[in-house]
Amino acid sequence: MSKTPGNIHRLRLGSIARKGAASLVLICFMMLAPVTIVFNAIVTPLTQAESWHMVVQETRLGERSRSLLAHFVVSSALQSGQQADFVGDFSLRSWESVAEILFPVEWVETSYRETIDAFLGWVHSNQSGYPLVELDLIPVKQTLSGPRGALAVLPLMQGFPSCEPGFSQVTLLADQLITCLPPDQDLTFFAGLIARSIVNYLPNQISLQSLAQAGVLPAQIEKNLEQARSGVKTAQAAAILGMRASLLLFCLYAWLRLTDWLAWLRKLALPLYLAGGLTALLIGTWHFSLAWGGRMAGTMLFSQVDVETQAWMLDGLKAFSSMSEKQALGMALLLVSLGAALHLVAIIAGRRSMHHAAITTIESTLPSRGKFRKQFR
Amino acid sequence: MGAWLRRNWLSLLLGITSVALAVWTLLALFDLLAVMKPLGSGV
Repeated sequence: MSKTPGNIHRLRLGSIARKGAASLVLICFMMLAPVTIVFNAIVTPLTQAESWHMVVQETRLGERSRSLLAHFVVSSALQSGQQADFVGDFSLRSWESVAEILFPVEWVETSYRETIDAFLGWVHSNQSGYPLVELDLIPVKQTLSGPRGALAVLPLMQGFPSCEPGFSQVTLLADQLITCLPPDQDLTFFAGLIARSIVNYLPNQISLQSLAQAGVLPAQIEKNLEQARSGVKTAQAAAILGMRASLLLFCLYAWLRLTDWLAWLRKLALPLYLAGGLTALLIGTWHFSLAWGGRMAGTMLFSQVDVETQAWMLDGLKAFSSMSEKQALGMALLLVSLGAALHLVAIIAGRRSMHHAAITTIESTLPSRGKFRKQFR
Repeated sequence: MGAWLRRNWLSLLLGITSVALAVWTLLALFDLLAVMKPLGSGV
């Protein structure tokens, strides 16, 4: 292209447009990349069974939720057998004593592991209906049938009122499992009786399907589960879209800023520094917000559940958050290191090129070897 | 042509990569829209 004033003007305009477009792309990259990295770091652990297993282990969920699980399992099983009145309003402390005997920590942890695997398997599939979550109650039934069964049930009977005179054992067990205790009777005998009756009502396995069929689960739970699955799939697709769009923006920026090698390498480092730095800033803000306001937010978010459940839900949230923070910080560090590496290469190559240019200039000013020899001959 | 390619190979490579990434991003967008459809229909 000839260097006429019109062409020079056009070239200058083109350069300004290119720089403007590059700045716009840089701003978009700067906003999208950190958000995508953080979002991806949140979504990935939530959709992986390994992270859930780790959270269950770290928060000692098996041990801490045994009483709740005992209440849920026994009440659900008995509800499906129309024996809901028995489980009435026993305190969590009573269930804790039951759980200690009936639900060993190993059994609870294995059940959680299987439930997580089944649920996440269902989330990642297109299978319709309920997830194939199944709790094996055979070990529980075996304990209940044995001598420890009465011991497990005994704490639940502490609050039973005395029966009206004239009650027989047959009347006692006719309608409901048991609602009162005949006066002057051996509690252990009745505890054993109740334990054996519970064994009869408990199925060998309980699954979401069986609970839904028995009407124990609320009707909208299937819809809620389906919505949760769609939400997870949408979040995963959004994270993938964000990652690809960030890559595209970085590539466009590199294309728009392409000049000579050294300047280009230095310019490429800038978006990497910015994205890495902003990611670290986002994570830092999240970390300190959770550390300072997490308990208050947890109380507000989980206000409908009891304090103990609130505490382990908050611990679970912190464990997940810690995993996400590590992943996002790792990514931020990778971006900054990559930027620094490009910068370093540009600096080293720039020095070598300057050194080479200086030598070439000195050599060009010296007389040629032939001329030099002739002078001293 | 050879000289032009030698001079502009990086620009060409970045241009082609950008187009490929744009197509890849569009595919991800379609995936997202496909997943979001059942969410909107309240299934």
